[in-house]
Amino acid sequence: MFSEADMARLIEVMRQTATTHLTVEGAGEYLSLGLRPAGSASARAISSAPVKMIKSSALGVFIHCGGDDGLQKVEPGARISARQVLGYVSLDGARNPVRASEAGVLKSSTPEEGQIVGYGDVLFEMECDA
Amino acid sequence: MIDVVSLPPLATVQDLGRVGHWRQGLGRAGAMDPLAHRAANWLLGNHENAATLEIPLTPARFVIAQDTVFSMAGAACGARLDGVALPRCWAGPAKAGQELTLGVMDGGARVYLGLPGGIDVPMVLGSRSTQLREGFGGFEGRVLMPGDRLRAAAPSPIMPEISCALPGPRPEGSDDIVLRVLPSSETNEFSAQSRDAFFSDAYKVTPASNRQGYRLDGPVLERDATGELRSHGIAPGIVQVPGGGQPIIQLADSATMGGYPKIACVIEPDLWRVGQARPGDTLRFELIDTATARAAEREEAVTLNALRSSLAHLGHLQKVWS
Amino acid sequence: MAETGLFPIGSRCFLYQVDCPFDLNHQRRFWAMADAMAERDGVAEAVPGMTNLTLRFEKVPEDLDALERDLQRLWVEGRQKDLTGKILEIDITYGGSGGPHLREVCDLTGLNIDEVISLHTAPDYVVFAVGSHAGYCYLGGLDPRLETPRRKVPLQSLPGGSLSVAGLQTGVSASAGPSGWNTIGAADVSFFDPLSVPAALLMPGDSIRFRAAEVIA
Repeated sequence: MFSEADMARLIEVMRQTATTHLTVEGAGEYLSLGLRPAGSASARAISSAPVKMIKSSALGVFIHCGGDDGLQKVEPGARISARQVLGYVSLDGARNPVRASEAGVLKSSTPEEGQIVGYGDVLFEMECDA
Repeated sequence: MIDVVSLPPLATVQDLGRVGHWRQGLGRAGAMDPLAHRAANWLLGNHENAATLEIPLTPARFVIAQDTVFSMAGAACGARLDGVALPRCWAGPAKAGQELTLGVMDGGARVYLGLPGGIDVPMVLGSRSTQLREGFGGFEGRVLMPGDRLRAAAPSPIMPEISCALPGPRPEGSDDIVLRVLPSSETNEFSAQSRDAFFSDAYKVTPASNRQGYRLDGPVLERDATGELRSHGIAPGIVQVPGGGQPIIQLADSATMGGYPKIACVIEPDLWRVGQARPGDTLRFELIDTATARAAEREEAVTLNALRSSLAHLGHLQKVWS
Repeated sequence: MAETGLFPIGSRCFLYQVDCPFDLNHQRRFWAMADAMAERDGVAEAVPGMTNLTLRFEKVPEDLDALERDLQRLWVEGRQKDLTGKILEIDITYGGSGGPHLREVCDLTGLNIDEVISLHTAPDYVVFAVGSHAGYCYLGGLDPRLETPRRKVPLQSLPGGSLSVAGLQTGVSASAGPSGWNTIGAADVSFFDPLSVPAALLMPGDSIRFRAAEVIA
């Protein structure tokens, strides 16, 4: 019986040793693991730092944080802490804060300041900490 | 419920003031920045006159004593809830045990903390404002101290967080806070040079400034006429010039009567800007007439109405979405 | 002298003053005007000062010229309001720690302590106006022989109940606060109680009589 933690550890070892196939026997079970060859950046990014899209929960005008709200501006590349306010979707001056769900690095901020965004539109992409 | 852990001894509970007792010598008191006070209430769906905590000096630390929603509005002050930065105008839920910290104030002088239904303090003479000199109203008639507990007057509603835009005290691109003023009874008794200086030069807010009034520093104002004035009613916004020639703006906790010569008076719709002025900030006085003051009053009503209805509208939509 | 007319002291507060002598008869006209103006549409409060009148409106008033004409008409009408007849007798401890400037007032007036006290307790003082701080009474009737200048360096805080003189005025502070007057005694009296109706103990038209309960020379 292999737990998820066991498998995660095995995958990590495979990555470190550039192993693409591994079969492990234990407790009457076999586990066969296959990994795409290293070197593919996108594969690494997907597996080690999942990209999370932060979407708009409302229709309104997009506003970056750091304007008149007393918060720091957030540029792509910046470290983001969990629950950090990244911007707002504004409706006639009232604002819905948009927050990061978890910690990571901001990859991109899609809409322009003042752009109208709809429900479900992607506002930010961030690489979450593994 | 919110517990005060540390707070410099100048924070008071205020609403829009205790009007109607001028004849008994009782000053108005009330929020120094009524705009931010109103915003702190509207963010929570409160009535604009619900009591808030006016905080003129930080750093400060609070602990949420019981799950609650709360609001903050006014100067940016690096507010953090359990380490997570909050926008300067914000309302939302907090859990018991969470810590609210306020850091250095920036771009303003006062921040208002609101609770659902307002801060629960008794109504005295028609208001919940603190009458500091007379020692009644507000929170036991005094400034808040560590160990005090702020209670909400209404149960906490279930609401998601919300924020809003709020203007700063300065016009766009200006270093000075501009205050529109009307001429007063002794304006013409000041020398032409003094009047020119007062209505065009910048006056600096000195550290001798508080809820009673702001002492200013700038070109000396000389009155050509001599003789003492008979005591008369004074109101927040009046700019008096005592013998030294440096003006004083009387504010929320000012005396109700006085006798210094008056060079001008700041119109009501601009008083909140003074409330966000800090020592070292510069003020300019723009002379207007009563027709313009009337127009400014109407504009203010439109602006306030827009802010209130947009917060109410978004609050309603949030309920629909959730 | 005060220029006759109506002047803003705020965008919703206006001062009406008249170039007139400072005495009880003229003051009684302002009391009557305050009562009349309080009834006028749009007027939130009408407060008598020392031979002047302050008005607060809910909004910037629309027609200031009409307002000023009405005030002038009332002034010319010359109706006077009578004294209420209420006299409050207040026991005073003259001198001591509650009256730190009694000796200075003697020096300034050239009178001895007994003379100062006897002149100060002689008249019934009329409450001309209530203001400055809650419940504080501006009194008329001080004997000119007790006239003294204000202090060069004001006291940062004087306790409530302090009896002071300055210029041709005298009064008892209703709560602790700064003061530039000469303090000659102290009283144990509450001029303002927010839980009473009315909250202020005295109103314009009432009178005060001081009694020397104790003298600490």
